[in-house]
Amino acid sequence: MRQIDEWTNETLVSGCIALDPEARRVLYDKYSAQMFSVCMRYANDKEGARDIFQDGFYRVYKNIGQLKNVEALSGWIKRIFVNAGIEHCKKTSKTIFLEELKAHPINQPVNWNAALSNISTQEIIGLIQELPEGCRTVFNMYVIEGFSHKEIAAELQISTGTSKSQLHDARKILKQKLAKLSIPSKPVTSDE
Amino acid sequence: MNKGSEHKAFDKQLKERCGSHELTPPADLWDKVNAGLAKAEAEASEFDEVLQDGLRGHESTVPEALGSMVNHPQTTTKANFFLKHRAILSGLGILFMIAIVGMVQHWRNVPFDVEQPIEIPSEADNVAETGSASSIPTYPREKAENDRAARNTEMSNSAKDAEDALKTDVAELVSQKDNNIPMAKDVAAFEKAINESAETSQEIAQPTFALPDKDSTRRNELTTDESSDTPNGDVVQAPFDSAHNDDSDIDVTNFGHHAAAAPDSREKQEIDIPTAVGGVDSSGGTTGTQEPMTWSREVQDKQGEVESNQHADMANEVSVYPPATESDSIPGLDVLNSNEPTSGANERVWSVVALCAPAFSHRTLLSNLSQSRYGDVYDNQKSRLHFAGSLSASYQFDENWSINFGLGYSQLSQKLELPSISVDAFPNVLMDGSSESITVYSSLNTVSSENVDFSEFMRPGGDPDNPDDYSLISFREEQEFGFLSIPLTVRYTRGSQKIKWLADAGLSATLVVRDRSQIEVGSRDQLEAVVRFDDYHDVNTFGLRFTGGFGVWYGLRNGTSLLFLPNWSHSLGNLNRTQEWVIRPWSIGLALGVQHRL
Repeated sequence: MRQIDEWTNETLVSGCIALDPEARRVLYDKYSAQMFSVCMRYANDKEGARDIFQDGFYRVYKNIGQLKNVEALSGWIKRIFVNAGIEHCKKTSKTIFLEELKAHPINQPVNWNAALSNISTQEIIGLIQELPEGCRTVFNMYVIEGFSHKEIAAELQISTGTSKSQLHDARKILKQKLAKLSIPSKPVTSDE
Repeated sequence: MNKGSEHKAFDKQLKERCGSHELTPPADLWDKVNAGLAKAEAEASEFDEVLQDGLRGHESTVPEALGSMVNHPQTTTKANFFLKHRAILSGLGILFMIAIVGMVQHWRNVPFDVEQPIEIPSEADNVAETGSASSIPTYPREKAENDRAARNTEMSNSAKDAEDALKTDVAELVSQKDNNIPMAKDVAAFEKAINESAETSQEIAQPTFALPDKDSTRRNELTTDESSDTPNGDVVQAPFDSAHNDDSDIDVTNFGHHAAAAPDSREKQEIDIPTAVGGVDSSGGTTGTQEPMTWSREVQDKQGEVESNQHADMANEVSVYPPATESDSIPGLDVLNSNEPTSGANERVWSVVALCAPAFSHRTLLSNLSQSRYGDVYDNQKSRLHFAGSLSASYQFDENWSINFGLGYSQLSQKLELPSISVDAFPNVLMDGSSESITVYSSLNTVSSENVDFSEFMRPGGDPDNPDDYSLISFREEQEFGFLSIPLTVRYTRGSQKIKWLADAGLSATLVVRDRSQIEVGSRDQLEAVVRFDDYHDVNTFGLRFTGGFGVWYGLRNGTSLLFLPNWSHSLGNLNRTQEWVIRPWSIGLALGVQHRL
């Protein structure tokens, strides 16, 4: 059995197309951790992330023959998982964009850089998971994946205004949660 | 730090932390993924086998309606004769326009060329020539020139005869000088005046005709008992016409009858005109006391003959030579010399008009389909500005009314671009992954492309049978048509000689000389994946438009004027030959141009 490093993208892709179990396993091992993190961001719990994860890999194995540029394998797989996450959000909630945000004004100024540094990435992902469905999806697509509001609107079949407001709400909620976690928060610097 | 910067910094840090984050999945997930994959493959294989067994060898009849609805891009182009040969037709159109201008110029020259007096043959002549009194009179130019030469000769001879006769009469008067000394002085002065005046035609045109006031006074004393018939046999009833007697002591009312005894009305017209000359020439001559008129008929006749001779010579010069500059100063003579149309209420002139206009073209779109939602997308269709132009001839048959016809060119250019749209939200595009076909319901036609590589239009890992897995698409449609138009309009103008308002209305026959249509359906995921439909339209080559405008005419020099004519035209028929959609192009233009009177 070859080591993971011995597998190039080409051999991986050709092996998966040839239904080689070893190639499939290597592909899984190579990208599973990264993709599971993506799934966690789009799902509101671990069960949801598992569903997205299984669906994502199923799609990867099934359609890997359509990949034209093997060098872009990593991006292609990630895009599949993002799409799977979006689909999951669409299926799990029909009213994801109708949720009302309870405003909790932040009384104290917070140094967000410091607040984010004080918590682990897994905790950040946990905060993202706690976001309402609509806010979470828009936040993931805009901030992490780099979609534009126009693309998000087209993808989720909402208006760009809704996308912007959902992003605004997501930031607001995240900051509220971060403010709670970052106690005691550092004083605000003069340039802020 | 402002809000925007704060958001950016916040987002950046989150992306750095989460974007590359890895989280080891639970160990049992591989088994589930592997098992699920194996199960799905087994199910798919079994399903495929069942389908293959059931569908192998099966044939379905294609619905007839589908044949009329779906046009393949390879077979949609119906380039007819006019579209194939539009370059030649455009050239012919230009030649046609040049021919119109040439004909207009030719027609303008013939009836207004007064240097070649044209006798209109009497009806009897017409009957003799054509055998029918109702036929249109014909009068060849060569015959007209011959007749003119003959008449000039005749007029010259008549003038000489009249002059000889006059000299004889003068000799008789001189012989009376012995019996009447005072009168003899007058006659001598009269004779001297005649001799001087007969030397040059230029002097004839000058007021040297007019006898001095003193002569006039004395002449009135002259009496004679001789017969009073004129050479034409006309009997002079009143020696001085009251109309001319106010300012002149010379009666010129019978002037023309002495000139050349011309039989036709045209010659009479020529000779009547110097009547006004005589009136004007003599205007400065009467300053003395108006005494009772005792001028004898004979003296009047003599004087009339002298003037006839002089004016006959003048008429010869007018007819034989090009109009002299000095003759233009003679009132009334310019009518003979000038072929310029006079500005008047009954002016009839030809003009050429060239117009160029920045124009905005659009269309009225009506659907005959029950699925009218297909047309909603075309609310986003944008039209392009273009330049339209026309060259036309105008015939003014009245002070206010004129008729215009010519050639024009206009366009209809439209573009619809949707950079990113979901297929579900776009009813005009139907994607069918199972048959690998894309069908577009365009306003010009319904087109379909088969054997599409559908993997390019799906999200990675998507299911061709599941429309939810189709990726976003980009849609772009362009339609461009060029129209050669032949307008026929009636124009009403009103205003001063310098500036006039004008209204224009009429019909315009249009011919499609340029046509292009293109649709591109692309995948947002793979930008190089584009399905293109070219020239899928099927349009009516001929059309009819109503056209109208309201503008301003501003006169410049030398018969040239500027036109500013905002105009509007709307098609009366359907541009589209397919029955699903009714397309009626219309355009608004701000035409600016030049009109030149020929």
